[in-house]
Amino acid sequence: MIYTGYILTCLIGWLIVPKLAARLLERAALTFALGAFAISIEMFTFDLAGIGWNRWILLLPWLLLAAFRIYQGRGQQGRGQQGRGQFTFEADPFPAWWQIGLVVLALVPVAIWWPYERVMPLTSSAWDAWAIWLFKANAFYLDGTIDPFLARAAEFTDHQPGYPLLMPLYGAFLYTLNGAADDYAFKMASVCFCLASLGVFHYLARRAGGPGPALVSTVMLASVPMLNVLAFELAGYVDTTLSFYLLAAGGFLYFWWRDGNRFDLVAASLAATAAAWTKNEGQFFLLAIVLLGVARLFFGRRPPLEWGCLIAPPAALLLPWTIVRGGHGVEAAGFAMGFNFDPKLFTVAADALLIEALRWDLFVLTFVLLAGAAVGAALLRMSAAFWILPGLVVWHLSGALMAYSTGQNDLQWWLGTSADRILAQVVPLALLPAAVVFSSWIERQSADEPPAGKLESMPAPLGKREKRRRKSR
Amino acid sequence: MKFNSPQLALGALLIAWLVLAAPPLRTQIDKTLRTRALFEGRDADQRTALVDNPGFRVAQEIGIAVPPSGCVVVLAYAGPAAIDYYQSRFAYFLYPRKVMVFDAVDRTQDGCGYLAVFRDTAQNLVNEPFAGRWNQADLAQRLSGLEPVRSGELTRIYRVP
Repeated sequence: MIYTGYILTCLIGWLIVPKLAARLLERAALTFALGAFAISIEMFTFDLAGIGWNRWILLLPWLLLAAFRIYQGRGQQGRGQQGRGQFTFEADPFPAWWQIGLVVLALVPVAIWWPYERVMPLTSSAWDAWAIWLFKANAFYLDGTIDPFLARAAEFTDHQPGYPLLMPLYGAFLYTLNGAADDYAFKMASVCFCLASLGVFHYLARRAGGPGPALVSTVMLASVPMLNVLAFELAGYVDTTLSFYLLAAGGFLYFWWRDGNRFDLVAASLAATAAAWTKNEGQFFLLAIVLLGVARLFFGRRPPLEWGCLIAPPAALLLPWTIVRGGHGVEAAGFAMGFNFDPKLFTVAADALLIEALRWDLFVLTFVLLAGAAVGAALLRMSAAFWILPGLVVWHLSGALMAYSTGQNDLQWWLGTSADRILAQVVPLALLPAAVVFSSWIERQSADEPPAGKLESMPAPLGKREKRRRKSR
Repeated sequence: MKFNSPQLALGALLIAWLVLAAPPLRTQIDKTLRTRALFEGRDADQRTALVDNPGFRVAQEIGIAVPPSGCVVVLAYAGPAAIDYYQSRFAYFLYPRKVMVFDAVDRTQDGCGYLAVFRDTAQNLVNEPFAGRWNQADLAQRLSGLEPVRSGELTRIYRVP
């Protein structure tokens, strides 16, 4: 039933955003992550309202939404319009041989890691998975609410009761659907988010340029060993989930800066809120998204509605959580960065992070390529929007360095247990600038040459208006 | 295609990337095959027991004897780090039961209805030697007035009046 729950999660996401200019698998990736986020908000909202978690009660809002979408679609069909409520995606043109080859290459690492044994309970080496995330999901499911666990927070200090709730609440939803806790099946959520990361990465890279660089960089992403370690060997950790939302938030914010489309702003704000609702590192990242958003809104003199699009999602979700947590006397996990700052610790941590980032057996050339993309962008004189992408990676890693510099824990132990995961969280986001730069390079070169022989031989589907214009010629 | 074409650069980068990514993937294939062989023919509980020796099995035995609303004090002959591990592990497996793990036979908890006693495996004790207070005579005296509820393979569980 939990596996059915993963499919249901995609459908719920699809119900929320029935139309999006994305291919089928890209849509599945985006809607899965959106669905998981929406379900966790539903669980939290029901809990605040005192509505008990029951399989049918939890499904009721989505069934009503499905009925509304069907009604909406029929109504528009009756009026002879293309229904806004219909479930659509971009049709995939038949791929070229090199595209099929690249898709197969992208699936090879996943296939190597795929056997179910990889997500079995390697308990002593995956502390955070069961001690924090799976434990909370189980406790919330058994109690049918979040209150009893938070009320016993003093008993569970090792289990980080103050950590955010996206994955525990999503797990509690799947367990409620299943009628029993099933840690093994829930650990597959990490694998789902890993695959979703590939899908959304391809979507963002394809939007940024042509299908060639998008597919090639997706293959590169799929074969980053640390990303696979995180998704399969450390299944149950939420770093894979976080890395998805960091990528989506950064990518959509880039497109909003570049194109000014309000949909991208909403998507960036929701993804950043989901990141903050997933893990503490996401809260620091959300701050960057909000600051960049405010800067663009303020200097671009954007309409007030866009201020609401940026601020409302984090305020509506994170403030109630802060109140609930504070009501139980549970301290926010983390610490005040900047206070207790020790420059010596900062230097040690920066050195360690740099050495770790350059380990090709973990990250291949991800961070070398990020630096290369920055150089390439400077040579190509790319727009200010581009610099958001590497800037967010640097911001995220700076946040981690500031945390290490507080000396909250023994630094060597702390680095040893978290540095690789912190870097892995930003791997998808760190690879996106390279895809953007290659796309831009190809675009500029093809502007000087005839298009024959281009790698990006597959044009983007034409819009309705463009089709009509060409027909009328 | 020009020598400095971005397509050529992208293709070369992809080849270099895959060459670098190949050895870790090769290692992973070996690891996957080893794991598969280890778990062959075992169900989920047996697999967990295999990699979580003996925490999972002890928790299973306590879970059978102590009701979900109950509280259990676990006296564990185990090393200091192992005590912390078992505390977290049992809290996870046995929720919503209240669990406290101690490495001293005289430790008590008011209002706690059950007492469990277990000894870590010899292999674990070699890696993490015991450092608490453990006197067999004191333990025998403490257990003498208690009602045995379950005597499992690894654990003895008593009801505390």
